[in-house]
Amino acid sequence: MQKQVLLITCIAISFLGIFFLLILAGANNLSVQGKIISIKDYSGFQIIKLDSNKTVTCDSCNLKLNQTVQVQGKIEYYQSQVQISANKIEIIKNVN
Amino acid sequence: MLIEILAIAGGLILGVVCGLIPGLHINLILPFLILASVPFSSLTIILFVASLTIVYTFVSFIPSIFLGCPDEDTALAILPGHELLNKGKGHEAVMLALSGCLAGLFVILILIPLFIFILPSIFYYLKFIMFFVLLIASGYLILREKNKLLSLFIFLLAGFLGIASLNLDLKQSLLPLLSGLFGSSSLITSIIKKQKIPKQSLEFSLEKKELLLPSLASFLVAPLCSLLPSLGAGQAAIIGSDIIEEKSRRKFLILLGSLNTAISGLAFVALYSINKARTGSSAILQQTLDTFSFNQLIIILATIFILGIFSFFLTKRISRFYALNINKFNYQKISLTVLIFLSMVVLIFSGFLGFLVFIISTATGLLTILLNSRRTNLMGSLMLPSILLYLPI
Repeated sequence: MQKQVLLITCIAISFLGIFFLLILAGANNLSVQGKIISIKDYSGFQIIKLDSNKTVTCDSCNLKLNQTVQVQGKIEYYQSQVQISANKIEIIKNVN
Repeated sequence: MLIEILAIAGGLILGVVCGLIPGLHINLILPFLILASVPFSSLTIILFVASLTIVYTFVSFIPSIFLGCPDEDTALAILPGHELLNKGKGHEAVMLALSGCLAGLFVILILIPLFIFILPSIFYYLKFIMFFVLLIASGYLILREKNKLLSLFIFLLAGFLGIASLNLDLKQSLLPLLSGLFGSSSLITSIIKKQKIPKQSLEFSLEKKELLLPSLASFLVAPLCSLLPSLGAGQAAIIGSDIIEEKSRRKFLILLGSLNTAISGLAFVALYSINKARTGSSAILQQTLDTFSFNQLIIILATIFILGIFSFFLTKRISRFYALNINKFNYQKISLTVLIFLSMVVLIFSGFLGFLVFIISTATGLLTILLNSRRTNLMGSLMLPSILLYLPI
């Protein structure tokens, strides 16, 4: 009996909790598009500014100035500034 | 010279303290060291970070096995470790992990030339292989269990939990996730079952051939997980366990020890060869040093090797102390104290949202135990997000 109660409680907390966290995570994710206007490189870790006034951070992404990119990532706060930690970057328009 | 000796001693003491305190991973304290490192020379910083890292790697198996409270690297040690503890073989479990740690030191030595001369040129292509390696390892993890549907269910449930946690604006997101899935759920089970720890034996024997397969697995897997982002000892252990003999708890503990040491050491080699930080310790060096030279790498590796051997004997002594005394205390009270302490650590380092993740992870971990599913399926929490990250589209 005690085991069943515990099992049902765990199922409820686990399912509802994960569902709630997924919603929160979804709200914390953003997709932005823009042309790269500045890049700061710290040994492969890049801080990128887009012309849409968004800051994106990524590791080992090797992006170049003037490329147009579509970035998907999670919103993070660094020194009270909003930035997007990139999960996926798609280069829409490349440069030579 | 005195300051360098003090740096090693400081790293050693802090490594033991962090290793023994449940839930306190060195990644939690390393950021504070950046500020403290300003007045010191690069040599002092290197010696401190190297000694802290290697001592921690060895000592952290003690709370995982004796207290059932792992950190993110030793999460999987709790499973076979706790089983052996319940049979009075907790010391043997620690010794197996330590033997693996020693083997890991040799794995580092063998892999250094590969890391410096070959891997930088194929680094880019490893990303594409990794997706398939992770997919096969996850598939094997699910298919080897009797109740495959239940295994898949737990794997996906933990996977979604991992995806959600890793996409939240959460500090130290792995702390609440893995502490809940593997640590607190075990502690609650111990409390509910009113678990009593039997008298612990100090006997330990190991055949050389037992070291062979886990070391080989570590040799094959550690490079991938030391080079690629978002992969750690947890994922490496799941991939590596496909190579070692199935259901061998002894070999699994050796594998975990070997992987932890190899990944910790090789992260410094990766920092030198591809200039990328893959662990907290190597990230600190990257941030505090202007350049990272070959000589500095040699100093780190020498420190790791010498202190690794020292840590083996030191941890062996601590393990003997635990083994001789743990059954004298009420294990329920120990578990409850550790659970409260772990909750506080999560609350302090990951905040309220982290604590929420911790509660949900604990419920998911308990659910797995109550449904009699293997808890390695909970590694879906790391494997599924990694699979999605390396998805080749």
